[in-house]
Amino acid sequence: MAQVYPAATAAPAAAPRPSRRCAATSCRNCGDWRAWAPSESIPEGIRITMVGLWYVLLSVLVAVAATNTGNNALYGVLALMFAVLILSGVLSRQNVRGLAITFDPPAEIFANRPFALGFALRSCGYLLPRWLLLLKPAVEARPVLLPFVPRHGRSQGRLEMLIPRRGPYRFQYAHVASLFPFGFFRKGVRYHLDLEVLVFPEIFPAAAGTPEEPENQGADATRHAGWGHALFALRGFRRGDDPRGIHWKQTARTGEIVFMEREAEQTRRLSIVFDNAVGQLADEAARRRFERLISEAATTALDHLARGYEVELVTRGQTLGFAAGVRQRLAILELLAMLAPAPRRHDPLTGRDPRASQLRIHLDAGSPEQPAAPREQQHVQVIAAAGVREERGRPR
Amino acid sequence: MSRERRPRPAAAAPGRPAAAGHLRFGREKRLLVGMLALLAPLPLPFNDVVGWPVLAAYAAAVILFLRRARRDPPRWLPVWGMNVLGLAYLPLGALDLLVINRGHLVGPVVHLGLYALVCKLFALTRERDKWQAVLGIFFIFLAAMGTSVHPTIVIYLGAFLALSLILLMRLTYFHVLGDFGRDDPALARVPMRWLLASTSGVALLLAVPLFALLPRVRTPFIVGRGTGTGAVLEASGFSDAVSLDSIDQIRLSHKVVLRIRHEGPGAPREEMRFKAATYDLYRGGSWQRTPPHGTLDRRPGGRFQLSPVAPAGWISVTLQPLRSRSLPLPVEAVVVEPRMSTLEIDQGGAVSFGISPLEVRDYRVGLAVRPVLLGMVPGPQPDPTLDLSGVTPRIAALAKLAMGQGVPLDQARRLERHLSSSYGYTLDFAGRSADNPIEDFLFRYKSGECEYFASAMVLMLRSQGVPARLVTGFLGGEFNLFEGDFVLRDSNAHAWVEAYAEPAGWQIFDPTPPAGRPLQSSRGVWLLANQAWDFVSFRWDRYVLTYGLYDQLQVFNWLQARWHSLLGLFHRHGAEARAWRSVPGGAGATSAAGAASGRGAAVAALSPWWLAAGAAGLLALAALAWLLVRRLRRPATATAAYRRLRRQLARSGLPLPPSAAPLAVGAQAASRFPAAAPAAARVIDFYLRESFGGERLAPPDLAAVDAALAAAAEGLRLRRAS
Repeated sequence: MAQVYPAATAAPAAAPRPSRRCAATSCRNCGDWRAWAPSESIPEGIRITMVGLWYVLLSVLVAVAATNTGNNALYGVLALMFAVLILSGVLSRQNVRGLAITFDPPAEIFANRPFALGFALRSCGYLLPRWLLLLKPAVEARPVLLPFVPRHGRSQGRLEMLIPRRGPYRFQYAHVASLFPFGFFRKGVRYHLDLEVLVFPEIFPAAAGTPEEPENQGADATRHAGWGHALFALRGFRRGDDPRGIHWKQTARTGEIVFMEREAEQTRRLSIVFDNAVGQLADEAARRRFERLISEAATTALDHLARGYEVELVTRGQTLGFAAGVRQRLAILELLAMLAPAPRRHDPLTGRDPRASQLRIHLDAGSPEQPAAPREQQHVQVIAAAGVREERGRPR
Repeated sequence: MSRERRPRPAAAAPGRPAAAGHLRFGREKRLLVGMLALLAPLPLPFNDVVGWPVLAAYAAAVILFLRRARRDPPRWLPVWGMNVLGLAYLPLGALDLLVINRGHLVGPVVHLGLYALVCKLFALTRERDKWQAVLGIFFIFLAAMGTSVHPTIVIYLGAFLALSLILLMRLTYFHVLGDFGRDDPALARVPMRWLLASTSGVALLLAVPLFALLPRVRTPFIVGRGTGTGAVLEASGFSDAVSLDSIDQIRLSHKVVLRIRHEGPGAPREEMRFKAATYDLYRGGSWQRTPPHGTLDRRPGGRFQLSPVAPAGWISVTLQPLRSRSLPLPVEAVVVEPRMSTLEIDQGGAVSFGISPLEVRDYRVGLAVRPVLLGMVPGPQPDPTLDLSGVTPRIAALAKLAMGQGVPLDQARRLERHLSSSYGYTLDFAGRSADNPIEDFLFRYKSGECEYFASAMVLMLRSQGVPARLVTGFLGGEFNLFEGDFVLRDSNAHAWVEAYAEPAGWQIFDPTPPAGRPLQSSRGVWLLANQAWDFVSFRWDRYVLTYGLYDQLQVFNWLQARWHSLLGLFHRHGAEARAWRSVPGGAGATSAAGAASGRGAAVAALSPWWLAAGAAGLLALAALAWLLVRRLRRPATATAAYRRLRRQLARSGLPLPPSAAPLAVGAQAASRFPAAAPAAARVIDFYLRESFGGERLAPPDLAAVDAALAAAAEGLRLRRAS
């Protein structure tokens, strides 16, 4: 929903107060450390409103009456109406010019999910404040209303936005419009922004591809200490060790407190094999299916990472090895955000760890062209076009 | 039995989402529209378009509406109720049109508009209703403006403009806030008082040139002068038929009729007599105008020669519309330049236009030293100046007695003295009968005003065979300090006698006692105030009400002349400068050449090109000084100091990309300019504290920043020097 923001005069300013006049082209001299957008505005045209149309019609009517009667009082009214019209244009133009606008996008933006985009708008004008500004970062975005920005003042806040597609998204312009002063015209200008964000794939509420955990989960040693069952090493007791881990027999034998370190069990792993070798996508429906599969992969990856899994993402041309944590989450999202269809290939795409759970995703899963999963893989689930899960193998 | 309560309309609840189409911000919008509606018809009763009772009733209804709007009740007049009220007005409207106003449309239409507006105000429940009400207000405003001629209408115009702008701005705010689902009126309370004041002022100023330039294709329509639509009293003294009290009616008014400016040197005349119309036939207590004798010949230059006498001086006259064809001319007039194609002259020598002019007329008049009376010499055949209508035996007997024996000139003078000394001047005619007013004046009441005196003298002269006629015009005048003109008002209207008195010919006789002659007006503060108001109203009449196509042409000509003179200034100076350069011997030559060269040098020095170049140079110097001051000024923040440091580094050969972080800047500066590194590091440290730490630096810190910046600059300078 669009918001209304009053002037942020009371908002705590992180930057020191401006002490010098803005330069003509930018607000870099305002004392704010942030790089403000240049204040050159590009006209976006002027649109007459219904009120403006009525005003023009009335002006024509008065003009006809004045011409017909030669009554100078009516000429005076007509002159005044024209003067107001001219003033409206001048004030409207002045109102949307001389602004410096910055946007502060959030760290993660997902497709089709609303997000709050921080903005700050500074009026570089010393003569007049700014009234009734409608600001939006993109043409398709819903505007935010700034009823009043004081002279050389600043207004900041957040506006809600939604980007429907994954991938790079460029905020090329900030669009500012205003009906001020008399509502006759809607004057619009845009300001260069050149701000680019990476939109991650859409995340579904629940992942369609949730492979079962293999039965041998924890059977393999990891060769480092942990909380598994197998013995990893015996060592002297240190402060902070859990007393329950004291090896009493060895303690009795050696006379010193011996601590039994256990070996960590094998981490739970998921390999997401996304075969993007689908060739040229034929139509919009195929493209939608492809996007949906990417979203399924992202949803599954995020879901498993959140549950402590190490997740591997294998695609044609780029593979992210098993890892967990925030960095892996970002890496997977970035890879999936930029993933594009690759030329068709028939060689199978496999994960690095054949014993890990595996989610195989391909646009043409189940079709004769798509090679079957290797027999040695224990847990393989395939997500086909519409997110239908298909069991392709059972653990031996 | 309990009755179920109906829910309140959604529009009445502030802060609650209103139903589609319902009025949002209803209280504020109603108050704004109501105030504008209260103001709109204010001039109408002054213009006699509606009566004061109608305006009072309307104002009471609007005030009631405003009080109700202030309380903001939920229930207002429904649309069907408004329609019923509209239907109820139909018989009233018919009565108004057919009986009260007897077929005149303007009054009933305005009454209907006011009634409809009041009904609409009480039925403002939807968004579109407010615009319909505003439209109605606008038409009332147009009616008020279109029928107004008084200068004070400017005050009304300004007030209406300011209130309209407030309304438009607030409605725009409410509209946008409503679109954003915000029904809190506090959001619209943004400071815009100064904007409104300045916008109204600028709009009025901007309207002035627009008013002057809007193309006029029709003659300005003059409703009239004076109050409102204006009575036409001023025409009564100079129409084709005048009664004996017409001048009396005019003299009650103090409106300026003529403005006279003397051209050339010489003291302006204190007393001037302007002849406007002559009357020969007296019928039943009123005079019939002398018919036109023919048209005057138009000479080259638009000049009409009245007499072969050469003019000894000239005056410029500005004539306000008289509602008469009469062209008032001084009795000394011999030439007139009226900017008209034709002029008529009657047998009595009074000059008139072909048609009654509706706008201000300017004309020049050439004057002789003495009065030049242009009446035709009476012939042997029956002459209208000897018409004995209205002459009774009693009048003839009195005339014979008063005139005595002698030549007609002496007789006429004796009669003039007799009337002015034996009769009194009065403007009180209450109770007098109109059966035989001249006889009543001479034998019963023995008092009257100028027309009685003049009429009596004309009849008495005719009774004794002396040709005579009544003349109306203006006498006297006053000097207006504000305008520098002599002005003649309606109160200067006068009537006198022209008689053909042998052996002198046509002569002026004024039998009115001195107390009744409209000579010099009284002096004092009141006169000054009157003259100041005349100054304003004349300009209002001249440059607003009667501004027309010819005035526009004059404006364009004036602009064109100014433009050419400006261009000519450059060309002339250029030519003179070239002439100076071509003088043999140049600046060092002797005698005449030297003097010429000296003057030429001065001309060349004062040439506009040099002046323009000098101004540009001064501007450049000012810009340079500003830049220097800006550079030398102590930075007010560490951020500014840091930015200046970066500029200094760039000038010293260390260009840094905008993305370079402060610490990277410091590191690079240290590697390239070790001498400046400690100072640069101090500047950067302060900058980081201020920008990233959000710390507001104290004055000692700022002084330290300044010192560090200076040290860094010195280090960089040493490096550059080495």
